[in-house]
Amino acid sequence: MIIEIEFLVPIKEDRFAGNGELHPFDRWQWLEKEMYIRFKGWTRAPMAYNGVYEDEDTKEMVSDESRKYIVAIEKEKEGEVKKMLEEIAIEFRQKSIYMSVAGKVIFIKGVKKHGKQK
Amino acid sequence: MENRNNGLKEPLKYRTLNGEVISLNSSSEVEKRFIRHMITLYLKKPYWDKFANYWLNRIGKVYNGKSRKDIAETVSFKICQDLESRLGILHDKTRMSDYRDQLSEIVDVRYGSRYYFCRKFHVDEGYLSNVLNKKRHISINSLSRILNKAGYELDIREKTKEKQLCEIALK
Repeated sequence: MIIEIEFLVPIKEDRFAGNGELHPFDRWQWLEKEMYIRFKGWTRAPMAYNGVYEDEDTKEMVSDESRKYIVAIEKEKEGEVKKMLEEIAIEFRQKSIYMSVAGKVIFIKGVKKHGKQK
Repeated sequence: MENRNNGLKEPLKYRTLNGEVISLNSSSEVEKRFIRHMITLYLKKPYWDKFANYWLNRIGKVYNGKSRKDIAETVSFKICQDLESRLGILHDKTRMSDYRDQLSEIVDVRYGSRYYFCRKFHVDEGYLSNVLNKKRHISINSLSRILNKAGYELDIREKTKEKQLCEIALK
């Protein structure tokens, strides 16, 4: 069974997990290359997504702009996407990454990997 | 796709934002045509996501039969990613890397945590955090010393000029 997964990557670092600034271009290059190699069917929505959410730590409302990715994969490979989102959260200095599977929303927290090679 | 200078053939090169020099000499005609096409499109300054989707949808046809892993290592893939990044910078959606990003990459990603890195290399964690968060400056001597301990060194490189991209597109 093929499922569709959507996830959002904010264009700025989280203020607490990072410095709140735009990402350097090589992070986006890393993500694009990983997506290209790992997933056959994926697309990036050709527009920015603006959203407002409540920061889980400060309880403040935060607005951000994100890039939206849509991946079509076999159901059994869902774990592979989640694993990648754990890496993305670290690489893009986010507390968590918004992911939606068939309308169900999950926030994936970053998992650090020691000795990562690019 | 070669420049001629005083009768000598000069290899045509593409310099990325990271300073990597890519020679186009051994590229096939199909590759060269694709790269020229993408540079010509880039020079019209489209929105970065639109440009990204365009080249990603077409690059597979240039390398028909190759795996995606192999395609991701080709000169076309590297150049298209670089052009896309330039558009992202132009439209204020991304930015150039600076030494802090590279240091943060080493500390936070490769070593896993600031605490671990600072203990291992005897660096004050508060000081390093302030440097990475742009609250403090670091001297070149201090930066070199920290990098040296971690097995890295500073590098100075030439910037790529937009004019060079135009030259490649017109060859």
